[in-house]
Amino acid sequence: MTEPVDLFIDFAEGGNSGAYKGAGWSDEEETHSWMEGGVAELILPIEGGDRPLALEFAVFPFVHPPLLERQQLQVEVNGRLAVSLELSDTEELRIVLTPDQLAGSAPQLLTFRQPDAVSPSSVGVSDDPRRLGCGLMWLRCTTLNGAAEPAAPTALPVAAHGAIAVYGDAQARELAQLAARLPAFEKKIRVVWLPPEMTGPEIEAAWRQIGDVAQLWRQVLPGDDDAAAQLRSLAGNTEVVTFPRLTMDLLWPFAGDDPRCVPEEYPYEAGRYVFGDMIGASLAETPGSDEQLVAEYLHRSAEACPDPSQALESYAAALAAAEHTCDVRLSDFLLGKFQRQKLFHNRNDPSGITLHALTEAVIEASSLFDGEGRTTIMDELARLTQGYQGMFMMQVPVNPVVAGRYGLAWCTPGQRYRYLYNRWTFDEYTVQYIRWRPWCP
Amino acid sequence: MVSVTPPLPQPPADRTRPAVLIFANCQGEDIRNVMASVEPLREAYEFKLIAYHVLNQPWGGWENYGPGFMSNVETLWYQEGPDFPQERARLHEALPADIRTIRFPSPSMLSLWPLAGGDQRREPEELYPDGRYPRVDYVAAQLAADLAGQDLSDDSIFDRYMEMSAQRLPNLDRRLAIDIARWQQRDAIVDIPVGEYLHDSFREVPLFHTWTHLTAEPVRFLAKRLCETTFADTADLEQLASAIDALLAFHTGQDFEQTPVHPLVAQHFGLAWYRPDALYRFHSHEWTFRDYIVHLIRHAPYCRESDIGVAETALATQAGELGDEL
Repeated sequence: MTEPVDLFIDFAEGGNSGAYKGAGWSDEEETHSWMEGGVAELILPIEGGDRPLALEFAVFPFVHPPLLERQQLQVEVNGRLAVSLELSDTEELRIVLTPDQLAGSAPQLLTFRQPDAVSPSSVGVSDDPRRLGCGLMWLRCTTLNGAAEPAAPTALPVAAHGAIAVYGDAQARELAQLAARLPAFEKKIRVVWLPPEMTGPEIEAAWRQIGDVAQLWRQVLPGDDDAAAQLRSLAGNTEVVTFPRLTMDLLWPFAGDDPRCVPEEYPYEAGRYVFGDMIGASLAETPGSDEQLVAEYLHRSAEACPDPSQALESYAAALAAAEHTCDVRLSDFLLGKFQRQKLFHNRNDPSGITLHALTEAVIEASSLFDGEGRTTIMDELARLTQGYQGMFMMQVPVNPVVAGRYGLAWCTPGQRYRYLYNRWTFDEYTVQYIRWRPWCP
Repeated sequence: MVSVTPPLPQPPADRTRPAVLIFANCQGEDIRNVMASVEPLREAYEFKLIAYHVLNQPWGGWENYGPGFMSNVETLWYQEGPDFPQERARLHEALPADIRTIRFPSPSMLSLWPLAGGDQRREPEELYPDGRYPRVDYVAAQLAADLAGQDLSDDSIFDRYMEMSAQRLPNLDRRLAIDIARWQQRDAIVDIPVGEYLHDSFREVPLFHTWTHLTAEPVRFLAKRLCETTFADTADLEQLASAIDALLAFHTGQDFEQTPVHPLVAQHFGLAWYRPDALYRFHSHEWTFRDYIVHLIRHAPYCRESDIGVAETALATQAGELGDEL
């Protein structure tokens, strides 16, 4: 076996390219060397062997739009074409040379052919008469250890083929997304999301199109009886796992309509702040500094904050009502953890922790996976959800009064909340909201 | 660069206001979003965007910019570059003859990510249309090939990466010089030069999430310079600058695919903003540098917030195929 190669050639001024250049090069310039005359050669003191070589290089063409918008570049290795390209801008390229493309002993001859090479003087850029093709900035040549394919997959833990249909709202879509990305499911089970906006005929047509539904995961939604009945009928003997729609009203007790929230021109077509806040709305015309405004907001919210015990009781009852007909129940999880971990980003959007728990519970409830297979899937799910944020793009800050009443350990002063491409604290968001200030999407 | 959000069909031109047309890549999306949110301007001007980098996508083509789209365009903010020549030529054919054009560059910076290179594993996948990890690190790629078939712990993988990457780091000062030379080349053909600003700022504040995706800082710089150049005679520039500052005070820029900076690169350049334990957003995840590198080497799956994913794609495909039946 030959020694591994790791050769880096810098074609800029002061670089080391002179030792490797054959015919067809101009002098080094500040960042690169031009290939001149249409053909340039590199002579690499590298032996062939039984392992492939990776050839990486940064290159850009001489162009002068619209007269000359791009240049062709052909790279030959020992007289045989390895790659043919068209370049219009700087590119970092990588090609892999197999052992049979390499000469057994050193050197290896690289030839760069540029049939479109042209002089700057001929296209009116300058007086430069050189026929310029491409500028090479750097080139790296390294031995690859064996084939670059990933490890052979271990035996797939999923016995079933076919599809899983997931019916429900955006939470169901996220569940479907997680399932579809489990390596055990890849190329084995398709996961198809059916949104509740679909009409009856659309659901029926989609179901027929999927064809081989092995299981239905159905979210139980209020007022969705017709769709539920239709899906039961379509599923026939196919196993159905039902799960609830998850909500968290407890942490945003002041949510409510704000008359200012009306459609506006781009970028506020859905309204400027879509999560209405009754106390914020009541302060809309209040003068004073930002600090005074936040202080008044907190004062009013402390007065209006519902009794935590009663609110918790109501929330538990609502959760129980939402899940009482479901195979999957998460109320114990939600009620047991909400003080220690951030389970929701707003009333409707679960965090990664919650969506992980939901996915795990649905898989647990499914008879498609058992024993070792289920263990593997759960391990994969744990890996997939590392650092996973869930439905995190529209976060509503938690009022510190509310956080205090419930003893939320995860809610810290100065914590930032994302609102699309903005991140702000509770105080900053509150002032923005009350003042109805514009924000950048 | 591929847009996160496909552009929706544009509304008919608003003939009551003049329009500024931004012809740019994804960096133009941020500039348009800022301008469309600046209160003093949003009532006086319509800001339109043609995202040239997606014009060749099935959903992003010229058909989104129908008849009359150009009728109220008086000013063009044109992002200069040698890429997409056909799309640029087509724009120039469609422009009104007397349009005022202001040229600005497309800032990028490669020297903070000097290990960018190739990865044979990167290819379009159903769940990851641009490839699973579009920002390729060639050391990670080589390590993945070297370790194929071996069952190593995350710690072991990361340790090997740190060892190999430390050996492979190129001359970083030379790389910075290459960036500076590129900035100067681009600056020579635009009305809004950025090279000096980038060079003076990159150590003090983060400017890039990836080598082409901007944080809010350079967006702020470009937005202000574009306003100064365009509205000097018609608007209160100080008021505009304050409004832009207020808008961008909380803005992240396009951070959906943040690419962590190698700690040795940060150390070499003395990046004041660098934190070794920082969390980087990668679509629906927040990872440390170590998490990112391990995921990259493992080519691990991850979740995405901004595309519709396989489930909906499959549905959309089916709906399309079922068009006659429905």
